[in-house]
Amino acid sequence: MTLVQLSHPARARSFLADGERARFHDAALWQIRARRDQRAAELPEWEALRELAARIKAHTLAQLPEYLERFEENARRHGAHVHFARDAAEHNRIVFELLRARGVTRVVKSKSMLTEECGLNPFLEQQGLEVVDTDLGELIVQLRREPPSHIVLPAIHLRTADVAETFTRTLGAPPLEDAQSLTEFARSHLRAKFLAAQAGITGVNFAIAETGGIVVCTNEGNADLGMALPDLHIACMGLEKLLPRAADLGVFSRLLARSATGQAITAYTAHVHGPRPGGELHIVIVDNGRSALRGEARHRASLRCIRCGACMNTCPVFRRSGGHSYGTHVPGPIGSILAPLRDPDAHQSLPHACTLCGSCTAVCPVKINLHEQLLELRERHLEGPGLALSRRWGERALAQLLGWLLKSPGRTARLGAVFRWLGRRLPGLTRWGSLGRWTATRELPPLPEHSFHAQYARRRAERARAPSDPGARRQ
Amino acid sequence: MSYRKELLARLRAQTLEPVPLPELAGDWITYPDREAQFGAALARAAGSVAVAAAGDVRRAVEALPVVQQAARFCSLVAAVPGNLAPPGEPGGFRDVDVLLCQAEFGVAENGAVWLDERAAPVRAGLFLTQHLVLLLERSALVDHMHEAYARLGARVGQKGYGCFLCGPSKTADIEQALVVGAHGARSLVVVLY
Repeated sequence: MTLVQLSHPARARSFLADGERARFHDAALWQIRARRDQRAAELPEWEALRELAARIKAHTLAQLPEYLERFEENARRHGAHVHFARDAAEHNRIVFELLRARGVTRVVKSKSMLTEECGLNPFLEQQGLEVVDTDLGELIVQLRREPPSHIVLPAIHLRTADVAETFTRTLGAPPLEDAQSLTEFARSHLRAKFLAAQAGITGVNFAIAETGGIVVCTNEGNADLGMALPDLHIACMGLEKLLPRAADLGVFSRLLARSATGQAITAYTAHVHGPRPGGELHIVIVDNGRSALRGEARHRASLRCIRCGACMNTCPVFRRSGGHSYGTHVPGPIGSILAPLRDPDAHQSLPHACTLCGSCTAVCPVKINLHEQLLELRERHLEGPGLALSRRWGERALAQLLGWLLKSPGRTARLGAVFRWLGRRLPGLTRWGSLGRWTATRELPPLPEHSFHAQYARRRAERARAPSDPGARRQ
Repeated sequence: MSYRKELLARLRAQTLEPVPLPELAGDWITYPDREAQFGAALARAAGSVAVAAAGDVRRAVEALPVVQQAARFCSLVAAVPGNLAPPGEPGGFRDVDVLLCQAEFGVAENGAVWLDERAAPVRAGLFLTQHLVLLLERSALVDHMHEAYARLGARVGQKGYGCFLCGPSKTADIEQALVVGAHGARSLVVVLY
């Protein structure tokens, strides 16, 4: 019998070892969630926008081959080159070939979850290229040789002192103490990199089929510098980034930043059609498992994801366990769907890192039924050979026993007494063996000494003894 | 062998229920005072608004503290001369203290303005300059992003670059502390006239 491999709780434990850091992480993300709520509440049409966004994405996915062809044709019309990559390896090869053929050795990169997914940075570095992540959070984790812990806030697991130590150790920065001076230091470090770069690699937030353009959203302006300075621009996108019409951006530009960070819009929402005069634009469209996901009726909706991170900010498990505990490039609720669908053996514990509270589904701007999909993945996992027996016989026996106990008031009262006694000793009694893996991180609320029946009888008796005492009535 | 053909064949072999493409008309929010809403939204994005009387734009720009303190003031607006010719090379804008451009229109709901290569032929200037000042006609304010894209129409798909810009460059990547001036402009003033 194979037991659930609880890799997520094991990694979460090390994150939680620093209680102060864990509390900061929880509070910081919850604050962003609260800002998201404020921005959403300012728009009476918020729910209508979510519904529209979900339908536009569902439509685009249904007609994906037509929209891919249309996008490709229109992008080429503007002078862009369009490449298709089967998987991460082919994506990396295409990008490297483009760089190698032009003798590029210095690359600036803006944030792209796709290139994280493909492991582009380590691949290019192995080939001897200098690849500089220019989003501040991405730069910090790159210098620390860590993966980002959140898709929008890559360094949310770190404190200011960690960043200062990183800059001093890796870039020779003087001792700096506050976010302002650390950002200023990074600004001057990166400006030199931007001006010296021979190529800029960016992600893509939206690709417009009818115009052949791409849209890139940032707050720092790093993608814009990466696209405006070097002559070669390589934009990497998953094939699910398409939208049919430019006017659809009216919907998505209103949802993205409000959901992500509680801003009405990002500082820069850049629309790029074709290369700059004298420059080159290459767009690499990556499958890497997406076409297979499109074939999964119950999980296809995950391809609507616009990578805003709202499901992470709201998730009680993510906030309290940190993004690194998921061990995937996209963590949190959406990552817990995407990763096990791609590689069930490596990521089977992720759908269990969920309380099924449904908060992720409630905030998702494209209305992905995240918690329902997570439940389905748990079922799929548990229907494996290991747990079939306990499900078939164990649950049936338990249901019959409970039915017998609850049918009789006397048996129910005695059951209550047993549980009040037991409840005061749980979950401590069970913290051993395989059961302990579940109960080690759970506590029961304090249970009352006496049953409701007993308390009711006692109060009635007290009131009968002192009918004029107002204090007794207030109880 | 390109993966393109195989991918399209694979996608076409999957049977998905067709979903109609929704109409984009909706009962969207409107603002009784677009100018006030624009200013409030821009202030939340760490930008600011200065108001100029009609025919007085040059004096209003020259009176801005950020312009008064600028040693190198580059203007892309003929009516307000700067003291530095626009650099021809993109990288040349790194030495500009203040860049002045004409924004085409603004969006009340979020405080963003639209800029494209007509306003800034060398787009790098918008991001390399230390401070950015934008001119915007008062009558050129739309309520929301649906109206913004309707106003752009087919132009959004023309070859080149266009950007909704909202406030100066910023980051909160270090402990969620907001820092203005990450890579791009350290400040943004929109002069309404």
